[in-house]
Amino acid sequence: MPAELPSRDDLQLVRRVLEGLPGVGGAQVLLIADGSEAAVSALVSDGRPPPEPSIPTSPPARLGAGGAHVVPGCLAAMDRAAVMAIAHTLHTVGSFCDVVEEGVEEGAEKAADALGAVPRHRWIVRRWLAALASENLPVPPSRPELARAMRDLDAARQELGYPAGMGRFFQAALRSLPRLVRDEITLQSLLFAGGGTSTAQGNYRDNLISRHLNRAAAEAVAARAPARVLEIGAGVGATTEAVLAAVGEVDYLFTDVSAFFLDAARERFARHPGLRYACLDINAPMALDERPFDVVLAANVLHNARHAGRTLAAIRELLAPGGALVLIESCVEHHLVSASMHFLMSPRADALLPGFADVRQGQDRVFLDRAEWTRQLAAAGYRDVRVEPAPDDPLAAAGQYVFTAARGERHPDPAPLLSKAAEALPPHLAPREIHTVDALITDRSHRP
Amino acid sequence: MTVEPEPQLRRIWADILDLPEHDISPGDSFLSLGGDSVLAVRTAALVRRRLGVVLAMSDIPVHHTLADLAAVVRERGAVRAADVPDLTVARRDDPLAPFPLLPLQQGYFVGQQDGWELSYESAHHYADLGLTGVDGDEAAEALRDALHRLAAHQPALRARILPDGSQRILDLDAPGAIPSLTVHDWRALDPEEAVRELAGLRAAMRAHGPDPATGPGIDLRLSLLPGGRGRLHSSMSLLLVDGWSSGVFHRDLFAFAADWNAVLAPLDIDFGDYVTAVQRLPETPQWQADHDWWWQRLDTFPQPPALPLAAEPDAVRADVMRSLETRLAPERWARVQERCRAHGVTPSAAALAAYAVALARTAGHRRFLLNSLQLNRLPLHPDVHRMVGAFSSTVLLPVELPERASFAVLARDLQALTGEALAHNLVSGVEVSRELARRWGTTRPVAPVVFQSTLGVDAAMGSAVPEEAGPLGRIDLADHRQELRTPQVAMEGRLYEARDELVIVLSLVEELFHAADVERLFATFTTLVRSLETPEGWESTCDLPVALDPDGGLRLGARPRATTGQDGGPPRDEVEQAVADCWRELLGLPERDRLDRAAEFFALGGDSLVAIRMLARLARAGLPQVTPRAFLAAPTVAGLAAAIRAKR
Ligand SMILES: C[S@@+](CC[C@H](N)C(=O)[O-])C[C@H]1O[C@@H](n2cnc3c(N)ncnc32)[C@H](O)[C@@H]1O
Repeated sequence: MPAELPSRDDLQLVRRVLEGLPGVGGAQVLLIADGSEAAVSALVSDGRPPPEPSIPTSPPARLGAGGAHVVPGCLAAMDRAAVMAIAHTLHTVGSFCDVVEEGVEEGAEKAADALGAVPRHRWIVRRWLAALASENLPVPPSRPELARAMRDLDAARQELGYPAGMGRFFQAALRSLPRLVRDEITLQSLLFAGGGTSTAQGNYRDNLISRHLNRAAAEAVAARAPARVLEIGAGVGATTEAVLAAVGEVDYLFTDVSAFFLDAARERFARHPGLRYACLDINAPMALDERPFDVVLAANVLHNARHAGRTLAAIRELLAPGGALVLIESCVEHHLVSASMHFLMSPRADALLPGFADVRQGQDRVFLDRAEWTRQLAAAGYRDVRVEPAPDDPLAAAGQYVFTAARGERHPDPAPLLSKAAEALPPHLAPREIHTVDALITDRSHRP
Repeated sequence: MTVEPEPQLRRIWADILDLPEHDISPGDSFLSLGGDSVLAVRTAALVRRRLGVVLAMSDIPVHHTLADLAAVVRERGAVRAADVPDLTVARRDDPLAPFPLLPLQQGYFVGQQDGWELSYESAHHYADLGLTGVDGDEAAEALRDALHRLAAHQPALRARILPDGSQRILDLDAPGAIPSLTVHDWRALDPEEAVRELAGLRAAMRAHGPDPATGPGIDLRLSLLPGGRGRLHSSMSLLLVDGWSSGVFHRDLFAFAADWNAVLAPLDIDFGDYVTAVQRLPETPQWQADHDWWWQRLDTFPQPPALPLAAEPDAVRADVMRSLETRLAPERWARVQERCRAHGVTPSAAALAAYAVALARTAGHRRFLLNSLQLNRLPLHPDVHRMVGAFSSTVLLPVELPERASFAVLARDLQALTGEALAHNLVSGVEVSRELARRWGTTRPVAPVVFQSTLGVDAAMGSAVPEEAGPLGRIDLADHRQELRTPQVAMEGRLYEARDELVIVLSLVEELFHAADVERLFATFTTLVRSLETPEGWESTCDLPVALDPDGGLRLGARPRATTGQDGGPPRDEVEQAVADCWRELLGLPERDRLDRAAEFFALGGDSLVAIRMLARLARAGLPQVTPRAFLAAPTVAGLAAAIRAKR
């Protein structure tokens, strides 16, 4: 049984102590996981104004050559199908009219009750009501409309090059919404049906959008001619595969929080000599017993960070001077995602820590948008942030981007601060880690 | 017999979590050992595979301890006992790769080639079912949606038969992979017109079944009739869908149609995986034992019942089989079952006894060979019973009835006979028939009189067809029609349950028999079954013909017809040489052995499937195409060469 978590007041105390130390302009304090316990983590800035953001020398590349013009239409069809399924799900428990009558907030509470949603998934039901409100469906869909929407979804899925298994997965998820919100089944059991990873690969590799993004990420990695690469949240290895094809011989540390993926990857990449495997959690201390890396790659994983700024800063410390971070992130919350992948994001019932501790706190959202990531990267001490695709690229309709950023250079060693803070605080509040950053993002004004 | 699951489960956790087994104690939770919900999915998959127990994800929350999991597994299913051969069914690397036909599929495939006696252009099962309270505007779309989901769920619905006598499953995205639904909207017709249209549709679907060589193996139609009525018509190729599967198909289809939200537990394996696994049966000691058992008995097997014939089977070209049908009301059927239980006999065995008595009286003798269609599937994987596929096989029953005995004794004898044969069912009746034909030197069907009982299949399938299916309305199972057309069958007695009624059917090739014989046979059969609701029915003595074996006349049989003999010797010209070379290669005959021009194809080890391939190969080599029928008239090197020359 873990000890009780430090309270808000405790964390305030830590912040005040840190801000009283010489050279510290401001501090932000949060909890991270450390084994089965919680530990204190802190970000500190020296209070100097952050460096001027650097303007990229060349405009962002267009990724969408070849077929990307179908992307906007397909995504609209997929979102439409999701909204129909959500509407039908609410209709079956008599909650379809709740949004109209009660507004999103109140309506969501009633709908969640009617559906028997478990507490951890209630934020998803709130997202659904917002989705319904934005789509303006006058009446719940009939069976023929639902059937057509599913056919359109499947046609769009095919056009985007997702394999048939992915179509099955989408449909299974949409039709299982009542059971998913009640936790009678898990999304994992649909995504990894039969214990295999082929459906998940469809989502992150075998489709038009991921192919473009993975290739762009691979080129960004290869452009640095790295000798050492760390991949975080490598999962089914979709991006890994593209990168390995683009770079020459490298020392490649493949990591994920779940050993499931390490096993699968060991088999899959058995023929690549440079690969090593390790467990790594972005919400726990990330110091590795490793020399610094030339490139850190994180595809579709950083939104899992409790605090994006803290994880970005911790990653920066793993980079060698001149090293770069390459990210793939979704920046738009599509309705289809709210009715499928978001179930993976609900906190576990027995989670040690509450939800997000950054700008997303209390907002029922998972993704940071494009501008937020750019800002987070700059604040966490990265320079030369580049984003692809360009806003006018048809591929941008997918709302997924590749971010590339170089490690900044003005970050003093936090070790002296760590020992001073430890002297001033009771042992259970002494920070487990301190990261020096260029700026702290404390406001919540930046809502999407 | 059950096996304590904990050691196996510990091994599974150790494999998944990459821990030494001794580090895992019964009180450890999955979570505390480093598991998470993704790994829990893996646990469920391995438990299925290794222990044959299906777990729902809700059965295995991550905080479960090893002891908890063991308790769930114990509860969910007695761990599989050990009399089934040790074959694991695993997903094939390439689910789209071709795989062989099972023996009965081969039989049907060959039966479609119009060569063998009693063959048809298609072997299929037709059924239509009454629907009431149909929502005419929603039904079609709901059904289409359901069919689409079902084709995704049941890969065998996307299978095709390839010209070389193998099969493959199409990708869901392949053109034509998903069977289509045809809707006949007759709502606006006046009732009589609608009845005429319905009759026309029925006749057409009975006569022409789907051809899985060129399209889906199932043809589904919905007719919308006046007054909120409707019918669901299905025609399924027996090459791909057996009787059990037809039940699974309808049950799943209605479940999907009823509820847009319905999702069925995914199937871990497909029909191709099962077929691939059973290809290894001959390597198991159990198969070898069954093989020896049959091969030792074969020489004592009798001929089929010598039913008096109105025409020679090879002269008959039938389009449809005729069916006679009668039903037993639920109360009466319940009483019959009650009496069966009291006598320690299954209703299927009792019905078989009644059928055998009727056959014996019509044929005039007491010893004959029956062919029993078996829907059983080898329980090699827990999903097997939920799958659509052509799993069925047959088992041969050498029946010998006593001259005088009570019905109870007959039923018990036949139950014992069936039980013994089924205990050796790893070698199917199709394979046994092939060997028997070889020994008898015949190319005619050796067991054209068939018995089939699907009593108890619903229970084995785990659930029945629902009463209601959303926009499709109420399903009236009692209001249904069925037709079956199977090759190499002259007559088939069939029993099944529709809701709580018993349905008794006799299907036959009408052109073969005298109408009066058929009427009498059916009357004897059904009267006997009906008599089983009283104790007297069981005690009464069945008088049977004195003769053990048939005498002459035009009768059903399997003996070879006289063929014009050929002089032996080496091949005489290049056509004969080409035939001989082709046979040598296909049958794997040693180079040095001289192939005699009078050598018979089947005696050399050929079977009907190889024969089809052989004829196709000779045609590809530029020789004129000979039909199987022409080949079978004289299946020797010289005979085939003569048929080829005749075509030139
Ligand atoms: C959406 S998948 C992306 C997989 C892969 N990077 C790709 O794009 O093909 C997210 C992955 O992040 C991993 N993940 C989730 N939470 C994490 C955490 N806290 N630390 C590290 N990895 C995590 C998951 O196990 C999963 O493999």
